[in-house]
Amino acid sequence: MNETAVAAAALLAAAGLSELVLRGMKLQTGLVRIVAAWALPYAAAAGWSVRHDASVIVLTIFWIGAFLAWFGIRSHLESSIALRMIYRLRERPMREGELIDAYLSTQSESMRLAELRRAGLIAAGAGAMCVTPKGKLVLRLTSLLR
Amino acid sequence: MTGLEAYGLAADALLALAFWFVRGAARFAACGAAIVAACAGGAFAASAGRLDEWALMTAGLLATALGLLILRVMLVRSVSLHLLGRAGGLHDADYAGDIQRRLLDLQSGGMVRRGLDERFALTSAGRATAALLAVLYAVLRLDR
Repeated sequence: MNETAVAAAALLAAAGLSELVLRGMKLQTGLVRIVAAWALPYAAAAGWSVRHDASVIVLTIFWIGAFLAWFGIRSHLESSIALRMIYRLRERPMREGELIDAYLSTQSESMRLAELRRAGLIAAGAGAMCVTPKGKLVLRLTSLLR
Repeated sequence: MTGLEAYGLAADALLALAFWFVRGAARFAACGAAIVAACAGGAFAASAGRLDEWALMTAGLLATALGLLILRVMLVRSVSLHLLGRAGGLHDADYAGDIQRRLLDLQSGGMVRRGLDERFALTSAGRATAALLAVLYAVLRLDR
């Protein structure tokens, strides 16, 4: 078995483990579990690399890319409004209002806010939502990177 | 450290710098492609016949560039981040407006077309995407 096959097997294991630990939870809520699900197969593949004189640095470069791409694609599939609309339209053509109503029936603003609450990014304040310290950190990071 | 590994680490560092300094998605995509192409080319010359390692590293660099590109787009367009920003008093997020704009994006991207009866229907590219999505949503249990 060569290192490409080992890396591919570890990648499949990480993707599968991620789905197991998420169990319908959104990525932003289950981030710590996801990191663990990706750390275990990486450690196993790195151990194999050390024993077989393969490059751990090359494996790590591959792993960083694989995680970033998986995270981006998985998160996009989970949250993209545009993809949900395409998915809805496969049933039949719809007028704008119908399509938006169909979208909102499963992905309403209150559902998104509830997800932010579950992720610990916002909390109910006196009459309005307020951003938690964790949410403030996310906002600060995103404004730096946007 | 081998020459191949040095090229790989340099490419990751350059991609991170590009992500920080190059803000537009299209410009970042071009910059990322140039970095990956240059470093993969250099690494190939330095790979000393270790094609497996070179292929694995190049795949990793391509995935890094793709992942960072998706992340850049998400940072700008994410509705959840807009809502978080609204809760933080940064701006007025317009949820319904965001949704309407996505429909226009789909139309201009050639995924849907508006018929004479004002209904939106999938184009052939849209149907192919919808078929793929149906499979992915079922596998990932996102089909709710």
